[in-house]
Amino acid sequence: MKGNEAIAAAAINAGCRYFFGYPITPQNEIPEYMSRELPKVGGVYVQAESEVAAINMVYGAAGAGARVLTSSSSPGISLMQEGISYLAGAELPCVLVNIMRAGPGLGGVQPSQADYFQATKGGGHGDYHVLVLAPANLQEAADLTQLAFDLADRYRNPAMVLADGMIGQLMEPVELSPYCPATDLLPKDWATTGTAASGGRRRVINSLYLYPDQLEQHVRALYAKYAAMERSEVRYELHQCDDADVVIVAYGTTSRIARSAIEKCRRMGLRAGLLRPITLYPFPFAAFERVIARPQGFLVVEMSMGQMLDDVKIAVAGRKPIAFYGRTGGIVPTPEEIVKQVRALLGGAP
Amino acid sequence: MQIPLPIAGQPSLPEVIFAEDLCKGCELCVTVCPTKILKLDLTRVNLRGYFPAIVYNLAQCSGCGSCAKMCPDSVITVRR
Amino acid sequence: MKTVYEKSTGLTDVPLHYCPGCTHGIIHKLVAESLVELDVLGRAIAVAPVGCAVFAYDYFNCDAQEAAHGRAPAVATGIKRVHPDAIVFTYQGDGDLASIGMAEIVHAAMRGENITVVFVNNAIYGMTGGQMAPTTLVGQSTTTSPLGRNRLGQGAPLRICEMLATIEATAYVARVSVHTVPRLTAAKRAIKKAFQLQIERKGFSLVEVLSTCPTNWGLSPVEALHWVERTMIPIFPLGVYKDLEGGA
Repeated sequence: MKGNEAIAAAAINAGCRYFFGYPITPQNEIPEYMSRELPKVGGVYVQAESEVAAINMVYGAAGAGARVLTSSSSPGISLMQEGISYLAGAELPCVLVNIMRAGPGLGGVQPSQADYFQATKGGGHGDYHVLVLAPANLQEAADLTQLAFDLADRYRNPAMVLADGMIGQLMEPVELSPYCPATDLLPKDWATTGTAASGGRRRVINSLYLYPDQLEQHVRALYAKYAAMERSEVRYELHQCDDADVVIVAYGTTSRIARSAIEKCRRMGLRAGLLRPITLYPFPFAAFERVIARPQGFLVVEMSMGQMLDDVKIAVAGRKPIAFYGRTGGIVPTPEEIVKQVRALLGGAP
Repeated sequence: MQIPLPIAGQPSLPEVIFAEDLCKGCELCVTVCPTKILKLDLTRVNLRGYFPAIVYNLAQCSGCGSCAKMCPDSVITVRR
Repeated sequence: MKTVYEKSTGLTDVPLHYCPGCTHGIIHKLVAESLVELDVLGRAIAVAPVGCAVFAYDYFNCDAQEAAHGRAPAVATGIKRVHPDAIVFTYQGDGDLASIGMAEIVHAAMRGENITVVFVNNAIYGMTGGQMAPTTLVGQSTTTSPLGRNRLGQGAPLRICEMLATIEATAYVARVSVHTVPRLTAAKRAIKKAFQLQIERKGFSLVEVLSTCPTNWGLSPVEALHWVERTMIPIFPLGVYKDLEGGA
């Protein structure tokens, strides 16, 4: 199935019964799939008037206790930033999907990874984080979408599946295994369902704290959650790093291309490996500690002008040199381009 | 804090009770009273610093409840 | 002794923060009383705006969500789709509904969302200190139209009821006021009818309530009531603009 459809199907599989969204290329298969399939399982699809409205519908539904999904692509995710800040501030679980396209501005519709900053460094106003998961293929996109619902509920925080137009549009076989929700999820007794359902106890969903000491206390509590995420939810993959002279750092579609490049490099006697972040927030700093000693350096490859690059620099902390190779405008690098970079770094085949 | 001041009067007269410390002295009750028996008590201020509204002539009270219905702060209770 | 009037159980014990004589307080009472009298307080969910009524979630004695500025109809849509049996209402001012939230209110009405909107129109931005609103009258001086709203460049006030009444899926659209006891009694009937229609799943309902802002109009609370009668009603005529059931 198509990547966009796999994500939508996985959401339904994970118990999502509400979708609010707005069409934008290259993710329209997600709302289209939801509009067809949600009513069949007693769910609700609403096409909102804009991404601004959509994210606020997500807020209302999440505050009412539901598992809810929205999806968009880069410019639409920009519109959602106010709502995402509100969702984080009000501690509401939801899953957001960004099928990245080239920017800035209206940009292009081809794949990109230039929303890394937007996704991981806030995007919206204020101190908060969104949990960010970056699939590299369609099976992982489906699996991480299901995981996102559990993580969102566990931490009462928005979780984002950050994919790109390639993943959204590719067709591959995907297996949707039977879904088992995480066993540590608490009942949503904080949700607004009407006081008759709570024996008269009022529930208020809110992010307004006009007294500074209360707001500071609230934000520190949010950051305690983020610290817990950083301890428990980091996910990454190391591929052939044990003997690598160059460790390529890439996520999503770029990591898949890097994997092909590494195969070619190895056949040429160039020892390249891959460090693939799966969670972009929390960033897998621990992965770098595991591989820092061996390689001569790192090569960060992104479909952007270098955004994850900054986090890699933090992780490496000056201990090894870092090279960067980026394509932008919607151009997807080829394995050969990456091989060329590795050759240049390692001074050609030994 | 609510300190209702019951207006002492004959049993047949309506009761007009003010939760005086919620009053903001806006005079909306004064203006809607059909028998004009309300005014602000300019001799004192309540906990919020406003001149509270009072009934100064309960004998003319019809118990219509207009004052209570108009009060934005639900200060007034009327019984008859 | 029979109780003629006492504070509604639809309101919490939290004292209202509104300015003296501000008719927000009256409108809150009418909404609270309606929910109690229709016996739906236990399934009511309020959506609070950004504006003077931003703390509405502290005043209504039911579950509530605070919405971003203008987005209350979208938040209400999300809530109502998840809990179709809940009585979901928004409470919005003229900046929230008619400026930044114009897309959300029109589209909630378009979709016929089964919610009730209480639209408080005081022709000015109260909370932020008296700036021009979409419903500010031509010639009315505000902090961002200091020489008076100029038709040239700033336009004329929007008539929300008239506009929304043209939308097919609206069940009830009415404009009322609360500046006299008879008017507030009629306003309560309208608000109660709007909630009744939601209970009966008849569609989208909106009640626009002409309201005062003594502080930013620069008038005493009582003078402000007169301004509604003399100056606002000629521009914003009271009446029922849409009624699925016919009649008033």
